[in-house]
Amino acid sequence: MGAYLLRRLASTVLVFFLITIVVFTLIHLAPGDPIAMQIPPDQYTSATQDFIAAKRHELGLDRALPIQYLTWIGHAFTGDLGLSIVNGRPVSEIIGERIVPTLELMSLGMILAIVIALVFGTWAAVRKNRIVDYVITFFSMLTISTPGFFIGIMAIYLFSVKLKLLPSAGMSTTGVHTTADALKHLILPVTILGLTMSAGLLRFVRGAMISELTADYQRTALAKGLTRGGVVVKHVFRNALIPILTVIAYMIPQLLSGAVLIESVFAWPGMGSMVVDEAAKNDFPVLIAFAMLTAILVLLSNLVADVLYTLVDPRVKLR
Amino acid sequence: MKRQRKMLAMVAGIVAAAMVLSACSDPSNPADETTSAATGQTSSPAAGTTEASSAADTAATSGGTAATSAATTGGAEATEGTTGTPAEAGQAAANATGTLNLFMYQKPNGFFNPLHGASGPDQEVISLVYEPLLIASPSGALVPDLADGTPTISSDAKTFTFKIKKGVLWSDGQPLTSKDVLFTYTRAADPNMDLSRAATLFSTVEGIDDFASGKAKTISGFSTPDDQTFVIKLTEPNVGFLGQIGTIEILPEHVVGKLPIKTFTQDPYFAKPTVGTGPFTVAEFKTDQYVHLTANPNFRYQVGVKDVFLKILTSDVATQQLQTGELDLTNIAPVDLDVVKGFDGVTVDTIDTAGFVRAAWNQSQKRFQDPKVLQAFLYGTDRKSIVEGAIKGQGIVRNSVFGPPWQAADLNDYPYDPDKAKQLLTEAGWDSSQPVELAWISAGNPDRDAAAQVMQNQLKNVGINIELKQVQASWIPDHVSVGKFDMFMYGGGDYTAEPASVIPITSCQEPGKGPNNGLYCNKEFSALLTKANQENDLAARTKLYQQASKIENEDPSQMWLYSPKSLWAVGKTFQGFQPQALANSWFEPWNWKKAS
Amino acid sequence: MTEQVSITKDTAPIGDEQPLLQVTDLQVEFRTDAGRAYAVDGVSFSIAAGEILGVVGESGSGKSVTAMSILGLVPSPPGRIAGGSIVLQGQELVGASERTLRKLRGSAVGVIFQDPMTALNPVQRVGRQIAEGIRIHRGLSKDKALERAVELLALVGVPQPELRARQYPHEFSGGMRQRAMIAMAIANDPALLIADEPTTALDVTIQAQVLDVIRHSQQETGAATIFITHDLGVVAELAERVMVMYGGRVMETGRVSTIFRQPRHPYTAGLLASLPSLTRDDAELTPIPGNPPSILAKVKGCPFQPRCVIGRDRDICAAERPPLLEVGTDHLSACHFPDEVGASAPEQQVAPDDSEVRS
Repeated sequence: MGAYLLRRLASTVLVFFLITIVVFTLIHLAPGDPIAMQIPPDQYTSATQDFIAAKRHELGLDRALPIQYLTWIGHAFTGDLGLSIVNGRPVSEIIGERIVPTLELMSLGMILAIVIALVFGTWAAVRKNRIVDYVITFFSMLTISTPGFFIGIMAIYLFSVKLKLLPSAGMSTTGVHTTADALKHLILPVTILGLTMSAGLLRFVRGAMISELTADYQRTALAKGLTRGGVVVKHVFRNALIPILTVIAYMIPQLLSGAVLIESVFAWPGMGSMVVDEAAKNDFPVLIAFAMLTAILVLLSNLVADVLYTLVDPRVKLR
Repeated sequence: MKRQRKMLAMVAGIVAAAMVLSACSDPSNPADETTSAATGQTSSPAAGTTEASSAADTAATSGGTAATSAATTGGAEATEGTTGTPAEAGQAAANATGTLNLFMYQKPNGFFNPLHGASGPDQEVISLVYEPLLIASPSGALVPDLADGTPTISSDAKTFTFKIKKGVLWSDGQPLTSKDVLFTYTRAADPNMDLSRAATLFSTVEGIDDFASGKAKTISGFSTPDDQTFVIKLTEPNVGFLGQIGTIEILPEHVVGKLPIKTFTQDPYFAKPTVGTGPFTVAEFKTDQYVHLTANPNFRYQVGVKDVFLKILTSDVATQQLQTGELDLTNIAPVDLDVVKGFDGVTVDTIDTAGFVRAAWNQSQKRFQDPKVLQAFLYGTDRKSIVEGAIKGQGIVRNSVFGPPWQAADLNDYPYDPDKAKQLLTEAGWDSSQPVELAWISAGNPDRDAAAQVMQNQLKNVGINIELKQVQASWIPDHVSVGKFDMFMYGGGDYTAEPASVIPITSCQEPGKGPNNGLYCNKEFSALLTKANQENDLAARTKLYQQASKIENEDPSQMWLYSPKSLWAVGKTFQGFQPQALANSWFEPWNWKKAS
Repeated sequence: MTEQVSITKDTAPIGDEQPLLQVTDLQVEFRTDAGRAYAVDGVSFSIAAGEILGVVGESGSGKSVTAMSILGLVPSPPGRIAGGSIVLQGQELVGASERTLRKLRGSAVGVIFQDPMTALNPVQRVGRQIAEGIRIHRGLSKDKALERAVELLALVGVPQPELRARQYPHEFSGGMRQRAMIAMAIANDPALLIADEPTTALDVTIQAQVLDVIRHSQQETGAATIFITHDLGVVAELAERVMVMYGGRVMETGRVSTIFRQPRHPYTAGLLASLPSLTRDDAELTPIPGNPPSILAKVKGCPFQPRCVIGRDRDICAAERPPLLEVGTDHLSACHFPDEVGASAPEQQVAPDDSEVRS
């Protein structure tokens, strides 16, 4: 196991560097100079071009791309992610501010999604082809095919505008800092997020459970005298959990990237909406930092998923 | 057999559900907002446009070049300054109650610095925390705010004298004096400041060159004879100068005087500026969520509201929250007018705006140098139908870069006449085979999308082949600013208030060397403008501008389209709100009250 | 609407004691997309304590379903016991509560399934799987149950049983897995063992070993065994009595030696005739032409009729269901013309001496 991990880590690091190089290059190749974009063309003067050039030089944007990259990665390893071009604030601060709301939203949403998928997916599998299965399948298909933001808007319309039960947007009521208020604001977006993320997973859980439920060893377990429920829990569920766990492990990077549309609809100040804004402004340092963090998370979660798989399923051997 | 029947039933069920859902969405259903919500940028009215497009517009920046109204020296409108109920020292917030939630249409950059200038949402905060000498009133005229009475202009239009109100305190208790005004203007005129626009605004101030080069430590043209007086001397007559610089908010010299100039506009202090003369101070800035302001006890008038929250919301969410009562004020787009009118407890105020949507031709191209061609564009487009269709009639068609009273009464209003257009094009020898690329930033402005579509369809009939190109803000610096485009549509255009602000954008220039993006050049027109700007007498000045407007009417500097109205949706409990033509500058916010 | 099958007391097996298991007119139906399938259509048999009954038939003849329905292990949404009775040790199992059946499963009745690779839980250690059954019925602690599991593994001939008990099924060879399954089945000293094609998935050399194990286990426990297979050779070697099934019904049942020497049903005869012979010099094999009947329709007459040399052209065979009648000592056949069968059955080398079977 140790040797395997080392090898995997080595290749992970290599892939990570490659990713950062590619993303760095692509971002810098995008049209539009972020500094020039900050100046309305109606306010251009003869001095403006010089000013832009001076600012670019100051930020090192006129150096060769490989040098810029090496400078950036050198700083990044010391934890210095640079300053935003748009407002001069440290990138780590900007990301730090946005990451907590996103993590809050996404982690709760994912937990809900997993719970929904496991419970209803199993239920549908156990009652395959009966009414319960059809109803659950219908709703999960509906959820998959309806855009999340649409469900979000309809939910807001129903619960917030018509029924006046829940707040319509934002993380908190202005000026209020209580937990109760924060929780109230979480209910709708987390629910919508949980629903939309659960749909695909639910289908997968159902499939995995069905294939395990029809497995022969289930019959053997019954033949030993286990109750049907006991069979599901002790044998089927645990086996089905193996592929499910790995799918869940792949969902982890979403914790960071957030759900851009849901964040927009609910005015949630998270990473998703930040990245969209910054991308429109070509704010390189922020974008590359975000890409780097996402890359790390994806690579790590892949590694974890692979290792997890081998730990949980004795049939799989590490190579 | 059975399995097929089950499948059929399921499909039928889904189809039925889909039909029911679609039947449920009627025009007044907010679910229609989905498409715009998808982009995260939504239909904001022209005055309050998104950051990206405001980069292209001279957005409503009161500290900027063009967003101000006529100087009022002995003006036709006898305007008074801003007023309120005087307050005892330190007691201004004594009767302040309630919380107001106002919308902010975009994320502010977090530089609440009047000299930064480029951001609309930041301006919302700035105009609550700081005050300028002169401020735009709802009617559009400039009225005194911190100035005591209207400033005087010398007869040769070269000297401007401001009197500053007595007894005004900064929120930290220090008195406001001419020292602060001097500092603010010196800083604003300093070309070494980052993002400085000194060259466009202050180039005619006496002594500016020595100061800029470092020969002099101060600008000789600025002086403060006493604590309550500030005088500006120019090297050449420029009546419009007052309008252009009079609305810069004053900064506290004793607080920010020592901040380094090279990073002044983006200095971290301005993320949470603690000292201003305005009715509110910044209590908290929760990034991406809201800015929280509280009543300033040292303000000179009684402040009605205790807490103000400027919430950062897209216009969809804002409309939602208006319905639920979580928001007291927002701008709405014309398409939402009917819906919002139907909300309980919400009234809609409309107000004319000075800005207009226009499409600049790149007049360095030979084909756009013949006025006949430009006129053909105007005759060939039914601009009235755009107003009716795209903004539901909430606006007017424009036929001049000026607005009343500076434009002549008998201008050609270019009624829709495709035949005339064709004729003009033939006379001008127009080559129909050459396409004209019309670019614009669509995000947040569906009316512009509609306008572009209409132009393309209608102009095709007269032989002008328009190709549409939607672009991002990043496209502008590389194309519009440097003369590498055919046509570009944008908003802003608030030159009505101060006609002299037309000068920089119409003066002959080289590409990339100034704000005249359309590279318009008409010597006769420019000459008249210069003359008008030297004329102190209002009546005479008005006449000169009107004459100039006739020239521009025949030789358009840009394709004027329409001026949209600004629509404000106000909650019932929000009293004392006076809608402004400019989305970001509040008028007498201390008079706001929140009824319980 | 069920046709009565006459049951004489001659269906009673060797010896006069009450049969361990008595199945009477069992009917099992499945609801499928194509309609109702009559998988088991009026099957009756009995088995005495300690006896080995071979159940032979083609795929789809209903043999597995018959066996599975004893313990109520037929998957219940599509399938159900539509009629008949199953009496085990004097207890009626058709219609019995799930609780009753559960008590029997894995204790009084043990099952050995066909494919041990899929029948064992791939992610659980073998010892634990065996122990599970022990713990359910005997309430032993985890450790004690594991100890017993190791003993059982030794009993079935698994070398290094303590090591093996801690391994996973995929670490066992095919034959060893089946031994583990057998261990699981006999863990609680069952009175009845049901072996559902236990050697089909194994290759021939291993097959012999596993058969040995089964025989050994059966002797150790004294359990009666229902041995389902499609392999006549295995039946000949292992079983005392045999039941031939076709189309969801019993065609012929009786002692192995009798039936193999003198089948009294054209189907049985055909099966025996189709076996390859080591001694004879056949250029080609002799299959039974035609296909098994669809179980979607209840056949009015004899299900074998379309393929039967004797009954092909006979109306009575097509119209009337032949009852299971005695045609000799402890020998029953469901045929209208059992006497006409003997003529075409050649000598078989497959059936060994009775003496060997009895050892």
